[in-house]
Amino acid sequence: MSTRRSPELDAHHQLLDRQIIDVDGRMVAKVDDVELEERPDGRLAVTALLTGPGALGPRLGGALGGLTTRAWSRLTDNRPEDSNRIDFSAVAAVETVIRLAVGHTTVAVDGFEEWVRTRVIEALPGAGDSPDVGRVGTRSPHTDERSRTRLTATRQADPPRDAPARHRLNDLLGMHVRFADGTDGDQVTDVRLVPGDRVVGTTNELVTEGLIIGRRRPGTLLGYDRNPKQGPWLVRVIIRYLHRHTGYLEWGDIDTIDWVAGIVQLRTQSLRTLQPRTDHP
Amino acid sequence: VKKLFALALGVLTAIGGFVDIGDLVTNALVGSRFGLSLAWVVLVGVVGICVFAEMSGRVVACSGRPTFDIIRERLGPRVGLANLFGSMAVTLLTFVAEIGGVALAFELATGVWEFFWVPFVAVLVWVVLWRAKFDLIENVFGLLGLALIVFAVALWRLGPDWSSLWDSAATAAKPRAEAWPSYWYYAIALFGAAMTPYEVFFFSSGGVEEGWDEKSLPTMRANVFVGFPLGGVLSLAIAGVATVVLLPAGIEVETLGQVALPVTVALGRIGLAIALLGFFAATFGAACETGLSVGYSIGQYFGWQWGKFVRPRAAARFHLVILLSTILAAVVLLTTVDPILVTESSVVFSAIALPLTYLPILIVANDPDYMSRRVNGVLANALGSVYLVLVLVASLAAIPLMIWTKMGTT
Repeated sequence: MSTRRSPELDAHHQLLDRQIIDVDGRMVAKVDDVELEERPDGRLAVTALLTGPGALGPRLGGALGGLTTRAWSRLTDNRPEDSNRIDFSAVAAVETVIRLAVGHTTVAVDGFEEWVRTRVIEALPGAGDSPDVGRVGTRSPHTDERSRTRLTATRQADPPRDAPARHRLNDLLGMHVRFADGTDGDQVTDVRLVPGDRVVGTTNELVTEGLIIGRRRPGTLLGYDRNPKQGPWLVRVIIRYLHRHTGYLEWGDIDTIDWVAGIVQLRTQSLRTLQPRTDHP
Repeated sequence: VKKLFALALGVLTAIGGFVDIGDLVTNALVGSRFGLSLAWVVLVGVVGICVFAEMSGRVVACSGRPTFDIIRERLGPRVGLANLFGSMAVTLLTFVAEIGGVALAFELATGVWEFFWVPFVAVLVWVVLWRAKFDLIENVFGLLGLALIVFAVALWRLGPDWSSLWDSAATAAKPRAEAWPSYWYYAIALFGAAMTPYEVFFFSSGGVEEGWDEKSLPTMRANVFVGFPLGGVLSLAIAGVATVVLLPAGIEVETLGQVALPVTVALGRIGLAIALLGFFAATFGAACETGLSVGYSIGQYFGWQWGKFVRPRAAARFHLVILLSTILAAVVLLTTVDPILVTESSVVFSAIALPLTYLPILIVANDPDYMSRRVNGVLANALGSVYLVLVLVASLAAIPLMIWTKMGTT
């Protein structure tokens, strides 16, 4: 089930929207967004996976996204800008799924599941009361109180004044690039990550390596720009034509990122060629 | 021997589970109006579902990712959500049709008005989805569904002029009384009946329920490549008996009773009883599959714990979705809407919604990140691309044809 990968990982393509699974194989949530923290060298590091309506809402955008976020913050006493958060130190492996090194009660991001379970499902006969049945673990009733305190703890606390700034991956995706001479380019469609030197929990942390720049057209996430041999021919030709403007930027090409205006200011005057990924046979 | 038994069981349930209310009604209706001139579409549809199911089964076996995981990962949350709305609308419509089909089968067996049965059937479906083990649902209704072989026996007992049947099937000769737009409208309906999206949601999620890995590939392929075509033969037999009995008599199928009528003509009351058992098994089994598919797909989009392999209390939101959909389906039916009409629209809307699920599966089946070295071969991609075009054409042509032919009534 684990396929060999090159060390680099495209965050939009290979991390966002993936299933998160806990140490017992239980499904926990989707990676609805990713928290990035600024590092002294100007790179960004992945510090947490964000889940739940507070993270999904902004990604949906528009009226529906706004409604999702507002409804969630009203129902849970969270601020609209918060979301459930799984610290990256809890992550054991990033494969086609994200495996956690801990159980789902430890990360406690499933408040709605709890609510449905205690209010609806357990009221019905035969919901499976004994905790030792079933293929993956169920929790004992005593953990309820603890998990509620943990849920509070997983909210994004206000960072101390001198703490490094944190951002969401979704805010970086879709930013426009501005070349050194002030002309505007296309948009950020993906963020390339590589394992950094620091070890958090059981894995190396992931830091930004570069940006993939292109036009937001259908098929951004299909991977044909990164693997020119991927079939079938018919789909490849159409998608590669739509994305013929796609290019790459190394992190050193970036001068500053204006998170408010949504502009990536570059030191350079042109994009690099997006090299095909080398890990595919 | 145990392995062989498991293989045979898989193939048999694939045959018996292939036919649902959509196949029953559409094949009988088409047989009664167009004879076997649309038999080629069943063939095209069966090859299509084989290609599609094999790809999605292989994706699950290699990566453990069922269909709606893939859809969200490849299309993103926005398009994925739109896809979820469309696919779930169609699947719920099919769910309504299946529950209505079970109620109709009970009506035929007992003479008691179908709508009396609706709440009873809905509760029964929910209890099975709540309590029964996954493989029990699949095996019991799959095996009972084999009762539909009675249609093939009936066709043989009717002793039709085989050469003229073959001739009308091979030349696709449309009866003169029918117009071309209706012919093509029903071609799309048959295509949608054979390639219903829920079949792939259920098939791929079932792979997770049963814990498939790469070692399961031969079994999975045997089920698909042997079971589905033989299920398709049952579909053709249903159309065949309608051609022999109903077409000359000028009876257009409007009720489930008329679907069974040729069997009664050929085999008497015993035949009818077996056909009714087959109807019950096919529609009840498919009701379970569609109901589960709604829970599976929504759970997969949002990343919830889903599945029958955990106790209900460990998959609370999944079971809440199933409970609410079952109530919704019963409420819709209790408006006394005609289940046959619901079925006819569900197969056409299935054809419309098909590209939504087909394209992401085709792409991921080619992605080495998920598949490692088990990516599509030349044949899978050649067929996959041909069907991509077919699926798109059928999807785009469906609504204009639906309006033009007033749902096939002209």
